[in-house]
Amino acid sequence: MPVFEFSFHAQAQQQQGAAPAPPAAPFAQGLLQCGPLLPVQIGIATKVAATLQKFGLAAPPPSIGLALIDTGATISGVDKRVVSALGLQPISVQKVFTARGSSEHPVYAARYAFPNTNLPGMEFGRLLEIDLADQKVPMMGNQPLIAIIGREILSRFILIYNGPGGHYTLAF
Amino acid sequence: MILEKEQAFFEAHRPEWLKYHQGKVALVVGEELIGVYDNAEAAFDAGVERFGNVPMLIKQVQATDPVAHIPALFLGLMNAGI
Repeated sequence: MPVFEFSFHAQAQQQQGAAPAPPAAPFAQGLLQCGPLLPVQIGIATKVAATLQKFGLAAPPPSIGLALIDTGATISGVDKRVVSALGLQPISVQKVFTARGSSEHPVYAARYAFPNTNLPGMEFGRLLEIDLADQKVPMMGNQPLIAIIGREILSRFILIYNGPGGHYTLAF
Repeated sequence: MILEKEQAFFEAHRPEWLKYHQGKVALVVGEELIGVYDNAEAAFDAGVERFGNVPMLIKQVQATDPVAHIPALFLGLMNAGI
């Protein structure tokens, strides 16, 4: 069974003129502070790209950033800035439970990939539009947080969260 | 309201479609049922093939719609919202 393991590494400061720092050791506090993060690339579906091409239009480049694995979320979500940049069109409306009852939010279809991992991507992912407020993750080189991975996507994986070790594992 | 026309059309026909298409996925554009499919991806492909990149309603035909939960957002556990 293919396995992907993620852990944080402390960013070693290299002194001017000094030899390059050795690879940093895993940083267990990273998982505690940031949660289980995953590199993600979100783009328009291949079918939509083909349609745009038919009309001589270029497909917008995919958005690259980080996704937070959220086992509390039923559905996955994508930041509204990504929705806008990709020109996604709504394909459904999802009732979402909130503190004030339920409210309706647009759902989009997008292609998902997990760069620099061996995890399989998805051609068709249902994503709720959410506002991630332009958050960046300093411990990951200030990469933007652009998505939340909920149980709809996690249903394809085995997830092991190792708190003491400061890493998590996805198997598929 | 997003997909207002499509949602109203779906609601008006839900009882009828439940008899014949329960569990299938309906594709609605405007006030027209384009087709019913085995899954959302098939409905999406058919919709994009016919209409291009436009708003469309892709929804499973069932008696009640499930409600999603994202506690981290609505409880304000992270700096984000819906």
